[in-house]
Amino acid sequence: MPSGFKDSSLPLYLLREQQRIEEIARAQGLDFFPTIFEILSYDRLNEIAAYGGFPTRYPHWRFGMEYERLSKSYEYGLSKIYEMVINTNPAIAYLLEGNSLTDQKLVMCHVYGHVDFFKNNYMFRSTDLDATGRMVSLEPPSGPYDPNRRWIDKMANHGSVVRRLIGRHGIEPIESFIDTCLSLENLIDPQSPFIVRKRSEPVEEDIPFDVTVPRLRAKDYMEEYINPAPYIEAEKKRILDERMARKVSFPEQPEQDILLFLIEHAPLEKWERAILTIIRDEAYYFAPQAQTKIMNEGWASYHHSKLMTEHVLDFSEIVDYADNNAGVMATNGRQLNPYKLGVELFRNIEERWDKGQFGRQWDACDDLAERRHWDLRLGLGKKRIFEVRKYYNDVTFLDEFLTEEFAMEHGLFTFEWSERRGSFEVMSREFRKVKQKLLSQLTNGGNPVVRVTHGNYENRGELFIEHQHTGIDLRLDYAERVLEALVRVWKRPVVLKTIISEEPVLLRYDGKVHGRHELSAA
Amino acid sequence: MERIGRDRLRNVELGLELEERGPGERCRDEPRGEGRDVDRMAREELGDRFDDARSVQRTHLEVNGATFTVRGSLGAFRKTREPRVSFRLREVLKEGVQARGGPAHQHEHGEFPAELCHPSVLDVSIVAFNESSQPVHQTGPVWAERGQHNARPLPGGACSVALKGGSFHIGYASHGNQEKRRAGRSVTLKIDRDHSRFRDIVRGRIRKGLREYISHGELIGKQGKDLVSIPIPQIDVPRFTFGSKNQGGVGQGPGQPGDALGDGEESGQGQAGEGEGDHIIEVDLTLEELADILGQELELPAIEDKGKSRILSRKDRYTGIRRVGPESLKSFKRTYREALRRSIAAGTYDPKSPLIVPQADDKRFRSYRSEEERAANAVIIYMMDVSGSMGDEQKEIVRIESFWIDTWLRRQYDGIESRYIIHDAVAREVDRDTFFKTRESGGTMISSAYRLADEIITRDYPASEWNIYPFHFSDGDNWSTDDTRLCIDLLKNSLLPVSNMFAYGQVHSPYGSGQFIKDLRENLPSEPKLVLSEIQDREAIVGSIKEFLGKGH
Repeated sequence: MPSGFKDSSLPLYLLREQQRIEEIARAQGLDFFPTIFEILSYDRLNEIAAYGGFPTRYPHWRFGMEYERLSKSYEYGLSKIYEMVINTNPAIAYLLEGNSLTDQKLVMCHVYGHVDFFKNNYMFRSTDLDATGRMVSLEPPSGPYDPNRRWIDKMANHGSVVRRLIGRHGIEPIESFIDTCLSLENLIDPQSPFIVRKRSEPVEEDIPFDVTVPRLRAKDYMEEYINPAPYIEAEKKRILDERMARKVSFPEQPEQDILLFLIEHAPLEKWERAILTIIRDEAYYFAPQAQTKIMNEGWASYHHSKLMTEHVLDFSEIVDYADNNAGVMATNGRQLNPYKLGVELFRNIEERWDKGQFGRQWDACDDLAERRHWDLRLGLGKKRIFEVRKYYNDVTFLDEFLTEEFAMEHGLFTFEWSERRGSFEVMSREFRKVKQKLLSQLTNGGNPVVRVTHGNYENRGELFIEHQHTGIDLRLDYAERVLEALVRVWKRPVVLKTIISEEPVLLRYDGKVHGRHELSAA
Repeated sequence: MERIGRDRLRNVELGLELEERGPGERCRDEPRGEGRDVDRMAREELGDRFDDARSVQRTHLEVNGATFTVRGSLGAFRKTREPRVSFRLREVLKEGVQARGGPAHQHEHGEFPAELCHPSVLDVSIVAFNESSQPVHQTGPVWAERGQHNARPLPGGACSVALKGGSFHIGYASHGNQEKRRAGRSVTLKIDRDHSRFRDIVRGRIRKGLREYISHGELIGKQGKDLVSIPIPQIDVPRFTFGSKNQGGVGQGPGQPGDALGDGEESGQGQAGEGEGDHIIEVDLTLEELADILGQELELPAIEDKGKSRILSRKDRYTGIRRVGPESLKSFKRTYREALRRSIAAGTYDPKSPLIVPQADDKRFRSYRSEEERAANAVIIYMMDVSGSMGDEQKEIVRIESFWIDTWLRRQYDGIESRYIIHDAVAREVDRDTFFKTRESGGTMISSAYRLADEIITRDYPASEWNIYPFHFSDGDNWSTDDTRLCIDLLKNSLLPVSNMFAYGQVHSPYGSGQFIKDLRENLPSEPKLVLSEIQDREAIVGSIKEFLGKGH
């Protein structure tokens, strides 16, 4: 018997449903961690949701803020949380007490979709822990995959560290430092766990001055003409300078994981470093979820709909289910609903691979009628979507599978703020633009890419960070607050290079005043 | 809240006595009763000395400097600021917990034996006693592991352990049934602490951002019966982020390029983790709270009453408890508590069958006291210039300012009356609505308003019994110097002598000369009751309120 049942606190009738659904889900090919369901009253559920699913997190006012928002919107009947599942092993999912049985079943089916995704999608590998509770680098699983994802414990440890610090230093300094760190929370590199960067050549203590400049091959008598001495000298100097520069530049390469850079290099008190590390660990824990929102919700919705309608539902429950499902899938004009977009894309992929609508021939075919009736009866759909859920994230998923037909069928458009009208207006239905906009919004989790390029700017110990401008300006008042937070951590002035209204500028904060320096085009 | 520490400590003791139960037993069917209150009181009393309620501390426990590693430990003991008892959890756990009237249980890992688990048990708290059996520590509800990763309230029996020089007491609270639990929110949540912290910050925010909110007038309009809803921005953690308006996005649905999108504010079906981007939440504050915040922010002094109170009504209030009285006034709860106290003292109380029969001596009755109440005896007379030169912006300023003045004075006096006068060349009394909406053209004769105010006061508010606050707002452009002279006479001879304070606010207007305030300054230089203030724009409202109310007349 899976361990999920042994300690379950569910009432028997739900436990039976859970067992049944679990069997069906497994038969459908889902492969999930043991899953523990808990049934909670709405205030407990709101509490836990406010803590991001972890009842054990460190104390901080923003959880209280989230709680207030959740409980107010519940009390006013604006929304309620049906389900919550957290990425741990075993997975823990919460049910809302007092929901109808149909809803509970729906939630359970949905949850198994999520847990399968947590277990299998490669992005979540970065949330595996090693025996000491550190996040581990990713090894391909050998044998059955049963990683350590004891995040409840890890979060609890974070909580106790923070509480102990509060006990020692008082709540004010700790809380305000956490606020500072939260301003920097998104300065991470969500892809970094998956990249092996060749950071540097073997460490050279001294810069070797004997440089052999590569020469073009030449006969003796031609040597002076093909590799003229002044050129060789110049080249030698260039190489030396380059080595010198590399030696001096710190970090050697621009570093997107600014939090790590700060943890390693900022002059922090021990407790400050502890807090910053906690914030960074948690940011990396939540990053995969932000990066697979559409896929994850789509996958879970795909499966809840399949499981519910094909196996679990009883005839009398169909209407309730459909009503609820429609609510979840509803789109309103402005926001794309990740549930809807995700599930439709998975269905689209399944259909295309079932019918063989992919590959060179398909791409080459531009006869509309032929395309419409294209069916090679390959039946590869199911296999394909299971692969997709494993190896993609939102960006790659949309990049590869969002087709022009799909965008047209679902009426996707881009919108922009219209100054004239004072509201958002539909801009374009052109596929290329829609896709571009969508991808650019998802890239780097929707955060601007900011990297630290100098840790000793102008040899004054100042921190120089660069925003890689992609067409959209930073929000300036916030950027200034972030610079203030950075100064607090770095303890020296911080300079941000960005582009404002197409003008490259340096924003500098020295701890007292904000400065702004326009860089001339030259 | 009013009772002092010692009293509460005794209650703690009593409460713990009451909380003693055998394992698995149902608790008294009064989840919100004494037991809960005691918990809460104890927490208030000892709050700064024990750690956060419900902390799960699974791996590290710091007890007086020593760090233990205990799996599934019982809760967080923080080093006390004034350690009065020293205990080491490990020792306790090893010694085992002697449940009174029950078997001894081993608590190697802080896990309670299965037979102690009971579905109705919600919280377990641990109390430490010192040598003289005074409770010195009480944790909030304690959590522990159940299952492998499953944080759950730790079920436990009521136990007490002998300890070197002190003891532990493990009590638990449970709920009788779901309804009661929900009704009373008898479970204190861990989030409550973060939540109240947030509320504090919000209040601080309001304090800090008060100027902004007042001047944007966001507080008015949503004025309910007694509540003002303040839309406050959710406290946003600033991050590097894109400016939202020039970003745009991708949507789904019908519409041609160039069509406007709906407001899109409605958040749709809220799911966990969604709903980002809605920035308005509402914090309900009562008008009293609002006034207090205002008072604190502006450091307004409490107003000195003229001391002319009239006895108008007599009211009976039930405030006390006595031993004799009619049956109809019997206090059920007190009576039973007395009975319980007596039976425990007499040793006849059996926790297995908690049957309590009150006797005549146990009976307690509610008692009343007659109180004399002062009737409302303050009046605010608002006067406003509505001549052509007072534009909408000027009126808005007056509206916002008078709202806050109203709020503050209402906080100071039990009941308060307001009268409204508008004037151009002639004055008339109007209702509140008209006062703020009317715009007339024509000349300005301020004396007309002052004369009407004087009439109203003479007729309705004899100065010997009323606190009178005339407020006059104008752009300072009076018709003639003759009229100004008349105004000054009226002020000097009629209005100022009867008023607690006469406030004149001059709103800056592009059309007005702003002469009037200068004339007042010149002609009535040393008049303490006359308060003058110039209001340049919305931002200046706060300063002006402070000028008006900062004197405490």
